[in-house]
Amino acid sequence: MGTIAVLSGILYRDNIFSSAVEHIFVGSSSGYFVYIAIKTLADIAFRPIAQDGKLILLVPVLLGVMLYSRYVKRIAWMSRWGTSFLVGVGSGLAIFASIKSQLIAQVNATMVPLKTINNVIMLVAVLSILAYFFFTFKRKGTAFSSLSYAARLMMMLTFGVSFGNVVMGRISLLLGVLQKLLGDWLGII
Amino acid sequence: MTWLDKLQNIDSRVIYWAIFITLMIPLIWPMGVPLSITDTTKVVFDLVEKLQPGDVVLMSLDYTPLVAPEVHSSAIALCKHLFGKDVKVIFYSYIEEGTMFGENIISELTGKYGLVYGTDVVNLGFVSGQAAGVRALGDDVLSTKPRDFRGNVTADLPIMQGVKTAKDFDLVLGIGDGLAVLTQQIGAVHGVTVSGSSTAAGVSGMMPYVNSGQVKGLLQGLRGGAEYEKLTDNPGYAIASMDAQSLGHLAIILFIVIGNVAYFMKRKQMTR
Repeated sequence: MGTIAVLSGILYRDNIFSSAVEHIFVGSSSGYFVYIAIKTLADIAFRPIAQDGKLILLVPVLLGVMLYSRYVKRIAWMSRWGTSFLVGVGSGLAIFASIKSQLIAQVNATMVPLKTINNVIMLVAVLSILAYFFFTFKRKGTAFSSLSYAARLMMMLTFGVSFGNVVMGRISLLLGVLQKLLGDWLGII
Repeated sequence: MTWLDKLQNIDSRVIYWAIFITLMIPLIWPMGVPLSITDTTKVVFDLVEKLQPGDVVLMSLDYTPLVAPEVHSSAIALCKHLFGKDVKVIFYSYIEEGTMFGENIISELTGKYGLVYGTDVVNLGFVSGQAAGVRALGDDVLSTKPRDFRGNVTADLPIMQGVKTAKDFDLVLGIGDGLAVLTQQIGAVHGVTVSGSSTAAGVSGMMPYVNSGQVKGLLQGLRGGAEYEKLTDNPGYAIASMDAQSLGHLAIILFIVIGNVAYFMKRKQMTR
């Protein structure tokens, strides 16, 4: 019934039923998130501290609580400690992931023998797009300007592929809804 | 308003209805459009085929109900293949909603494969902290998840014996949009083989990882699930949707062509 109510809002016009279902969805999702958050805290913090005696876990719990001190102006400075810790850990993980996974491995994968047309196209695309984002000097009248045109073509092709994939994904989602309606509910398929 | 203007400003509800009907027809009357298998799907299949009974696989269910119709069929097809080979599967998710899909899969397949929870399969549940949480799980599984989704102590479960870090897994599979994080925080750090399924929208972002060998193979959206169902001879929801998917794409192409033809004809009219 919820699916049909939401579809009525899309296929006809917004109505009280589609709005009601949207609100119910938001509310139940929020409730589920709260349950998971409390369960996670219980599993990784409260239970180990209370039952297993792992008092060291009080430190990250305290840092997490300190994040909420930003709502009290007098002690808002304390939230910076928790934030700093989060930013530091996040940056450390991101730097490692970026350098190894997204830079070194990808550059390595670009060094391919130019024996197939695919490899040639890939190399031209990578070099031209890198040249396109080179802003240190003016490109007009240099070899970079021709590469820029090629880069724009390559990027447009890439965005077209991404768009096509997104359309495919959205069609798949609608198919899931139709399968539920026609199969599980009406039993037609 | 001329007919060209009307073509360029079609009411969106007309398009929605047209897509709706176009997708319904092949679902009710299947056409049997042939389905070819892509190389990336074959690689995933071969990886799972090489596994031996008793091997342990970590499966990350990182998708929400919003995109579940796209990738849940891939998860089911992969699990059927894995359980059919007596491979043990450990589920987790770094997205809150992903944990319930683990329970869905376990309840759906327990009867068919005689699964014993805790011995053949376990759902570790939600791992908080996004990338940091995934990294922590890879470094020390038992400390990161002292209890599973059902409240059992993970160290006491038979399936977790011998599993300390990500290196102890024979294969790591990511389902949904979390495959990139899995690759960066577990694959790159521990050198384990990573594969899985991505939403169609995420395929463009995952292909650099596939081409560089960091991810071995990829099931691409719903089509990937259909191909895997065909390879494993386990027809399901994904294969049944392929006719409708093809027709839906044709309808979208038709609308794009109509819109562009109307645009260029209008432009030509105005320049005269």
